[in-house]
Amino acid sequence: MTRYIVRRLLLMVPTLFGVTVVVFTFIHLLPGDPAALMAGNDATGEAIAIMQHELGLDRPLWTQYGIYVSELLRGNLGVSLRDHDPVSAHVGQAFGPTLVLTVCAMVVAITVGLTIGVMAAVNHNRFPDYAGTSLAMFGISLPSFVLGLALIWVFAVELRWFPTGGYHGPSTLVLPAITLGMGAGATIERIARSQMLEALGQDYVRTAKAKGQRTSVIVVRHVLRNALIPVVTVAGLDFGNLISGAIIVESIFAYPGLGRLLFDSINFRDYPQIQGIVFTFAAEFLMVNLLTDLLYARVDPRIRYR
Amino acid sequence: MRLPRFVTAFSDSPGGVAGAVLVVLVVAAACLGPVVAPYSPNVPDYADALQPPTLHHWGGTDEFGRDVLSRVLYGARISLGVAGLGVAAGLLAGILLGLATGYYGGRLDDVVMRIIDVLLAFPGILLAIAMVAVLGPGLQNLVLAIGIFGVPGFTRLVRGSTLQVSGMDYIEAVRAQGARSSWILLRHVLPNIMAPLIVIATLRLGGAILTESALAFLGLGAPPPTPEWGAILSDAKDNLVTSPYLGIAPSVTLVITVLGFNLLGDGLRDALDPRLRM
Amino acid sequence: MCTRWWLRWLAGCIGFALVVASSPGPLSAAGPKILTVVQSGDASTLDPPHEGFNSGSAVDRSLYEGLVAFDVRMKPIPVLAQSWSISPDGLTYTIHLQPGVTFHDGTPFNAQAAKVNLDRLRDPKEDPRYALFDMISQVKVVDDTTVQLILSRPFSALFYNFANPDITMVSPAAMAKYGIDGLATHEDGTGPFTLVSWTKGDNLVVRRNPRYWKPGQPYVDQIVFRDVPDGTQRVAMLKTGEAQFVFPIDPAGVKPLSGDPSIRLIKGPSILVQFVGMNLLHPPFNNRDVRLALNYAIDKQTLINTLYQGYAQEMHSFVSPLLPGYKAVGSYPFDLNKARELLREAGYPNGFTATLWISNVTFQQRLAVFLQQQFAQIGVTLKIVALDGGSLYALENKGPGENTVQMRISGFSPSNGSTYWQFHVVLSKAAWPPNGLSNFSFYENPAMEQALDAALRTTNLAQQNAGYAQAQQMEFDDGAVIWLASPTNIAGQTTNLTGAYVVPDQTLTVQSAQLH
Repeated sequence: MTRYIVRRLLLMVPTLFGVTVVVFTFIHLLPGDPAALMAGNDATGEAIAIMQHELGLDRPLWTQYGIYVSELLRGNLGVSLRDHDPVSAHVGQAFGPTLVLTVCAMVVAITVGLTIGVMAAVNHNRFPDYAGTSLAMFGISLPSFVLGLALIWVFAVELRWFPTGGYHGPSTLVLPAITLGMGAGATIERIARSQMLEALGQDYVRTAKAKGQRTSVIVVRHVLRNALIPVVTVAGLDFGNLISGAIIVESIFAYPGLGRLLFDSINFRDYPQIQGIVFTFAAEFLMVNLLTDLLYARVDPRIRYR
Repeated sequence: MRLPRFVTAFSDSPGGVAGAVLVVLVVAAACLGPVVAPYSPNVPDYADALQPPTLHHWGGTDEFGRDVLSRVLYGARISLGVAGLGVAAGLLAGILLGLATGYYGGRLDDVVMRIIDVLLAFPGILLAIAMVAVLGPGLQNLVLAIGIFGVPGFTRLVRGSTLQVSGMDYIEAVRAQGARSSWILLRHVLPNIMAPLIVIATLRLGGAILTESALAFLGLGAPPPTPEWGAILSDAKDNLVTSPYLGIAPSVTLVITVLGFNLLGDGLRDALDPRLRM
Repeated sequence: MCTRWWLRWLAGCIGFALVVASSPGPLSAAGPKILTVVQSGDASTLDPPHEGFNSGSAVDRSLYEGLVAFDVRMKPIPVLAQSWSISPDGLTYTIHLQPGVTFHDGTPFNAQAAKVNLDRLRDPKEDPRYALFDMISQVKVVDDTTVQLILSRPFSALFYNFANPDITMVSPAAMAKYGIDGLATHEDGTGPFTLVSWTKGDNLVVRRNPRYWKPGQPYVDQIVFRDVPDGTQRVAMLKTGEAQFVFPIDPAGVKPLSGDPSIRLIKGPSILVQFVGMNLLHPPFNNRDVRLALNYAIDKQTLINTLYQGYAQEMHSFVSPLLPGYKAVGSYPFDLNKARELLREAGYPNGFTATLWISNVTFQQRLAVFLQQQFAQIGVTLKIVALDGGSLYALENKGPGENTVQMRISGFSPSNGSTYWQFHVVLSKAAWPPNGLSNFSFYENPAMEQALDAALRTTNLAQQNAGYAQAQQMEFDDGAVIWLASPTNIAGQTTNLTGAYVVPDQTLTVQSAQLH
């Protein structure tokens, strides 16, 4: 098991390098001059040139990339062009809110998805099944920004139950978490339902029922555990999607996380910060995938990783 | 042949049929939009700005007095067009790459799969955002971004099937008979993977429409006044407090479209290959 | 049994999330009088000369002070410079500094400290705005509370340059201790507040400076500056009382706030004027009749209603009425026939096609669509290219031969409230790209520049005004840019707040506010 983990981690490295190359290339293809932006509207050409030298932007591309990578290996994500603060500080600050949001969304997704999925499977081909399946279908097709806007309008503007955005206190988490979690919840519902159906059709379940055990007991004791395995996988994969979905949700709810930071950085041509954020997203995604695989191995005793 | 069996199987699934109907409706709206739309999407009418839905304007009017419904109808062509082209581009690239790597293997396979791993390391929409931010706004760049988005998935699928088929005995036999590789690939590999490819492509269409709208919503789409659904929704957001109805028409259309493709994709999958069912 | 593991995991997640989400930040009530100010942006640095954002100026004004500052009508008033005298030839300024002032670190503010700061402000390596002071050739310390500025040429608008909130005095000891880079994150000024904490992108907290030199001030114990980019949210924060002063309030937010008795809306003119710049080196914009035609083709009233929801004023001059020497030189009333006739005379009876570059800001996108609709009426087809701020700036800044930008939505709000500066930055030959200032129109009018120079050289007010009036008339006759409108500043505050205001340049002054 440990060997597997180490192997996977090692395999992550060339991929991460690939990510830095892609990000670096992208960023330097962007037209625009951060030095000019930083120097301000009133600055002269001289002032801009001085700023460029200060920021190290007048050196050849290879050198800049090399410096970037060597710093990265030392844990240094670079310095923001905007305020000379380390990018890792900004990312660290913005990471917390995004993580909280993603976790809450995951909680919403799993709770809602599992409950409805199980309910639908147990009541197969009756009303709860149709309702649940339709809801899930709908949830997958609904873009997060549409849902977000609708929620804001109903609950924040009209009913005034929740604030329209920001990040201070649990009430600001509710609407964004629901918006973000819906899509994942729908996917989880579908998996949970189909897995449950498959499991419920098994012989041992029919035997148990024949012996007189109540359905709910059967479900909780026997069926759930087996059905959960693919759910875990999907949940894990969805976590990665949630991370990217957070970009949109954060912009709708004015939520101060990594997504919003990314947008500000793109608009301001803050090269190192864009690199740092995208790199963080990619690294986080890869880690989550790895963790999911490991969790999968833990949960399913039939799997042994070499 | 397989066709009649597939048709019966498909018509058994109500979801699939509903999906097909929705897709046909939306495609019809896209094609006939300009003919059917009551107003031109870009002509302003300042006196009638920000009106709620009325008999004259079923979807209301925006801040320039433009008819929302007409804009949504015109927007259908753009959204479907961009999504369609993007998915087609990704599909084509995926097929080529998948066939090549699956059949020839070796160095090419290693390199391509590493690149795909790197592409897959970018979660969801992040890659599309980065690409459009770099390449700039514009419909061609959107198509490109959506296309690249789909390449890893298609490549993996085609490669997997190619590997499977290439290993089979009868391929050896055909090769021994002196047949050219490309002929082998086309004649023997491709037909076997058509079914899952169609399913995935249909589902990807739904996702591509979502991605395209999201990018337009975030301001990374085509320049104004292009009536992309995402752009219309972004306008609606800015006027949410005063004119909330602005978002209804584009939201409903968007959801119906994506829902249609998802239902259709599911139905196709169930009918073509029950083993693919989740 | 292991089946419960997922229940525990679930509970753990919920618990974790709740704990993290409800952890109190610096926003939990501390002292008795806390003023919460909400803006649509954050400060970018704690080192004032490097501050580029309007939202940072409010923060700067609480932590730092300069020789003079702007009052609510954008006129310089004395702060650290108690009084001054100017020699008749306009080349020597003798400034008497306020005695008894100390920096936050305890070191005294005196003429020596002032000299260090003034020299720094003139240094191209330390101050991106050094050009504002390049007419100062020497700074002399006369005695402990007096400095003298020796100018290389007369510059009557000098104190306007000094009134900019980002032109302030920083403790020389701090400069030595932290260096340039360190100053971005360490403040040390003479202002009524000192820094408590700064969570970038969210909030910045300052608390009263007990050693502040103005007796009895500041009147509140703490100010919390919040960065809230979303307009709806800003309105909500004001309504719930979470914030006492909010700027800007979008026009859409006026209605929800109007009925509320605990809230007062403050509307005031800004010095920002918005216009469409044209590249005069690029036909057909080199033709004056074309430029005038485009001006006549815009329905100003509809523009104000549709784009600004009525919260803007028509322009009657290139500069805002609040700037010194303003003269209402005319307007271009909406007249399609006149516009078409001008185009015909210019040789474009069937109109022409042009491209408008805009940034990704929503307002510019809307404005672009509006302009498209307006110009279509005289046969001018407008293509729109939207780019992000950085790319656009790069394109705009190319030199005469390479600059392909044809039309651009633009505006100007002189950071020093100076008429001369606005003309200089936007329309002077010296400001042609690529040297960095904003004359991407490549406009050139020696007569106009002469008039401006004359205004600058004289200390006689009437002569100054005459010079500025001439310049404004010339711009109007030449149609150098396409006039749009001057937006109205809308701020909201709770009724128990006094002494906080929006300066017409759209920065805030809140450091002398009182909460009742």
